[in-house]
Amino acid sequence: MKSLKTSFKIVVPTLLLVLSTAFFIVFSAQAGTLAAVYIFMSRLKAGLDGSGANAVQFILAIDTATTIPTAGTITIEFPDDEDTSWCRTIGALTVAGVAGSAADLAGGNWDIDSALPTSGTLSAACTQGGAGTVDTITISNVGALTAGTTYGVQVASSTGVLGTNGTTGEHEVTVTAASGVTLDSKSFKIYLLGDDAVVITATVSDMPTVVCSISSNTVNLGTLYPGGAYATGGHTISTSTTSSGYYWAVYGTGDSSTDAGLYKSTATTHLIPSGATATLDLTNATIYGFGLTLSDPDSTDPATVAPNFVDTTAGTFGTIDRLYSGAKLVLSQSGTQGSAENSTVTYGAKAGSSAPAGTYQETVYWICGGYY
Amino acid sequence: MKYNGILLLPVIILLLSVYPSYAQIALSIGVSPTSKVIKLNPGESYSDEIVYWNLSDEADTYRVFISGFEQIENQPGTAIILTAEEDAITNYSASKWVTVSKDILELEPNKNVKLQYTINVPTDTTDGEFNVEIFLISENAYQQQGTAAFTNLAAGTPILIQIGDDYVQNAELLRFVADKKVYEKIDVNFLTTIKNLGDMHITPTGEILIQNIFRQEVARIPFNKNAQSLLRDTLGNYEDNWTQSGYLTPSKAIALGPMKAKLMVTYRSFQPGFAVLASETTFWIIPWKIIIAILTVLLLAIIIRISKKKIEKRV
Amino acid sequence: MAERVGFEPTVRKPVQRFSRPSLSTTQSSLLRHKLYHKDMLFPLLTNIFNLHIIIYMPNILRILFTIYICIYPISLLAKELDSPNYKIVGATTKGGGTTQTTDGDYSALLEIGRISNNPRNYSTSYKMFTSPEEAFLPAVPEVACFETTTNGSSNCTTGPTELTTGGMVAICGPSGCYDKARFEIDINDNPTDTLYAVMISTDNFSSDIQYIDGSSFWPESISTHNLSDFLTKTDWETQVFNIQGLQSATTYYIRIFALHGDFTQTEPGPISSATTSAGSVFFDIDIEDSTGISAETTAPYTISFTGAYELIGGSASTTAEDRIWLDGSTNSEGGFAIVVRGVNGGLKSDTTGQTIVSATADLNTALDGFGIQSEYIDYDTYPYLGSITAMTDYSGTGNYVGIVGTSATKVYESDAPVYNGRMALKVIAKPGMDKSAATDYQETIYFVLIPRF
Repeated sequence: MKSLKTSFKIVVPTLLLVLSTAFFIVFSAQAGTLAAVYIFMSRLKAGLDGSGANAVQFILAIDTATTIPTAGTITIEFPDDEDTSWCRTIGALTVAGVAGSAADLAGGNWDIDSALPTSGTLSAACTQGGAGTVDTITISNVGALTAGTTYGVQVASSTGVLGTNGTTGEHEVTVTAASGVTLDSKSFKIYLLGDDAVVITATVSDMPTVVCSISSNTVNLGTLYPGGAYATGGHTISTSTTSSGYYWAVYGTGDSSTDAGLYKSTATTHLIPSGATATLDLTNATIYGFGLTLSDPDSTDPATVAPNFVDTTAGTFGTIDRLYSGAKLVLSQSGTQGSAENSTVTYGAKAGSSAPAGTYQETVYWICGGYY
Repeated sequence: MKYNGILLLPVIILLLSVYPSYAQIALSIGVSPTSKVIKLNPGESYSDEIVYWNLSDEADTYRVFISGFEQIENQPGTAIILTAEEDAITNYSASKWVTVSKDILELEPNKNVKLQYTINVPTDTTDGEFNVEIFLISENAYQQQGTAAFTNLAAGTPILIQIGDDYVQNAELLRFVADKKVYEKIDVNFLTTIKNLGDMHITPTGEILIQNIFRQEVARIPFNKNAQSLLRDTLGNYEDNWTQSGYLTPSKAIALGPMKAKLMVTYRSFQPGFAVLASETTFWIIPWKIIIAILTVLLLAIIIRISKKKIEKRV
Repeated sequence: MAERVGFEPTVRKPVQRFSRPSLSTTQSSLLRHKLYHKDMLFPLLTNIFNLHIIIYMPNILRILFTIYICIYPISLLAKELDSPNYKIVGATTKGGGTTQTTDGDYSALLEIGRISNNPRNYSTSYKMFTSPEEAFLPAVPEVACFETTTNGSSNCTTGPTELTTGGMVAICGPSGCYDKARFEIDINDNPTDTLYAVMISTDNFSSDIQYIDGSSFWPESISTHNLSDFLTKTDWETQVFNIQGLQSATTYYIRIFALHGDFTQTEPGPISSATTSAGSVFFDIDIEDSTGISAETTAPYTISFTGAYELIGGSASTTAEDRIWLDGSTNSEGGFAIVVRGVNGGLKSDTTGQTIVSATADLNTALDGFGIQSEYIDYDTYPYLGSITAMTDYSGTGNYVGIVGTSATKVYESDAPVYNGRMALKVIAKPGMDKSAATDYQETIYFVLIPRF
């Protein structure tokens, strides 16, 4: 009996101990796939050696399906028969987390949410494959990766030099995020082209150009009261040129025979002529007619308003003539004009006391050109 | 019903009243090239194009004119077409040699339009220079009433066609003066008139040398720095300006008192040194305000001095 | 005749079949450890005999012997549990009844007075059930279809019509699915309320064994496999892609179990396999005028603003005669992005030192500029695949252009797999009046297509 008691004192706890430990059967961790991944290469041309203008950078976006603990690594592995073409020179690479890239698909798993977290200082290097191994980019000291969050990281050449394989077409790469025995990976394709660049060439002509504008083709002069005050109306003209200078000239129509000026074409016809004098002072009660002035486009030289057409005296307007031969120079500039400059044109009109009531109209022709 | 009719009538009349309305559009034209100089031979044919564009928001319609041209108000480097009558009688117009691909150009906003032209030189053309301008004038359909000024925009490309290698370049300097005789500040406009006696256009170039009373060079300004050309058988007025702040040049020459300006112009494209046009003019720079101020100060100083002496003497 | 104790036909509680003891049952009590032993009482009797020995041994030996006899049957059981023929039910022999775990997932049917499972009880026409639940076992299901990369036709019948007529490529894109699959169940006349679970492996069930989760449809380990992973045929097949989270270019094997009430889980059905696609992407550049929808040209790729398309400073915008034509297709789930980047940020002349700077702008109002505009987009239309769109900056009309800057910008995007994508870009330039004449204005534009897997 005593022996039995002793036995039970030893056996039962041992039994329980063994049985309890027996139930701690550890399974190996299941490796999963990545929920989302993309590699954004700065160049897709095959055969880039990574030096100078042929430099290649990678932006990796990664969303794991499993939460990967901190102090892990991310590796990018290239095909086995393409050794030394992706990692052109073994060594450290520059690496930095990125919070977004131009390749993101907004609002989904392929939209980088935040920069790759770190545990310590992020580092990266590329190694070359040999027999049984492959070119690999390894990013180390990665922080914890939460499943469902997409992280971004950029690697570029430094001591280690990244390049591209010489064969065009699809290439399979494998991206793995791992920490300890926990890992997620995915294999997918990237595509290399024979040439990834389109070169645009252009000739800018040496032919001189001039660009002229009038802001409005119609200027309302209101109602003219015979013997009353003068009426005004206006618009702007603007010019730019690459020739050695520009000029504006003006001629009118009038009654198509006598003079330019405002013309009432309905019976009883009547012309308010522009006038025979060079200028008109419409503030003078006895003077009537039709003329115009221009403002100086630039307060200093080089644009110059012709003396008869300056707007410095209120009420004084320059007169115009008919036909091409009657064209008068009103504005000119020596030298090119890279950006359009404006001059304000003001028409002045006053009807004589004998002018009959009605509608008076004048068509003014503005000629613009560049010096030859 | 009757009352309705009475009410309606004024309404109808009101609605039928015409109010002045103005359909305003902006006009814009860009032209390239702004001019052209071509060398051709009798019987030769030449084709090229002129590019036009419209930077306004509305389409503008332009009619194409082909005519000889002349300078505007004797201003070299400018061009205006001749009327049909004038073109018919001028000896130097090449308008009949030129054909264009279109008579009306519709310039859509923000589009470049090309107008092809062909010059067919007649076989019996004499040597010399001929001119033609391809000139566009806008056309607008005006639908307005009321007193108004309407504007049209015109721009052209003057083309100078040189026929043969035998040509004469000859010019005469008719006038060279400063626009005033006395200047308080140095802002002098030199007015030059040259007449082109040859059968080619010329582009006179040169400089105006300004000297003070001590024959020191005070300034040297370019003549016709814009390279404005003068058509054959035409008068051209050139204007050049000398502006200087202060009366002392960087080389310490005084720009005061009587000044002499010498013009030296060449115009020939071949051996220009053998046909130099020269002339001189004089003018005065008298900063009279400053002089009066100085004199006043001097006078005051003298008066004070004399007064002092008188006071001392008394004492 | 054994009394059927504890059988409730309406309550579906599976009887756990283990190939090894479950992780979740970490409770140390032997009573909770559910094993259904079909025909072996031997280890139990052995234990009783061994206990006898233990009582009469010295202490140390007792300990050692206890450990040995504990591990031996477990290892024996474990070995036997690997057998497809044995299921062990434990542990109590006190009468009959049903007991279950607190979560309700597992139950044990305990009987007294078992009927012998001697094969001499079988005939060709009948079989005597050795345990009561066998009368209610559903038929072992088969895999009617398990597809990833079929093209042009499909054995799957309850999926989308595009699948039936076009195969998996019609719903996954070029080369088929790389991370998912579809299976359908041949129910062998089972009632419609029969539940099914799917076991999946990459090595034909030799060591890698997982189940398909009934809500995420991803593979899961045995530790998280439970009743909610048993679904009806309808529930499984309503989901178009009912297996997800697979690795690319990998062969997967599946087999299906049926369940129709407590203790009625069948043997797994026959194994079916399929291999996922390795992924597919295609990209190409061509240069041709606006009619070049089908054009194929080779490098170098150049577009010129010369001759009739020469630029004139201060003039209206000029559109180059040729377009940049792009081909893009992929089966990546996130579609693709096409991104551009310019070396100079505009048309730059080394002679004049000036650059016609590229910016997103309406060149009708801007004085100066350079950029690209999408003119043409086409792709094969499939209801389950994606579409291609141009980004806003590049979707303008007239002379509105998008930037080609020194930083990469996205021009085109597909949101899902795409077949035969074809796009064209116009190049438009407008030099300002300030740009000096030169023949060497130039820009190099890099194009990058990024498939998003």
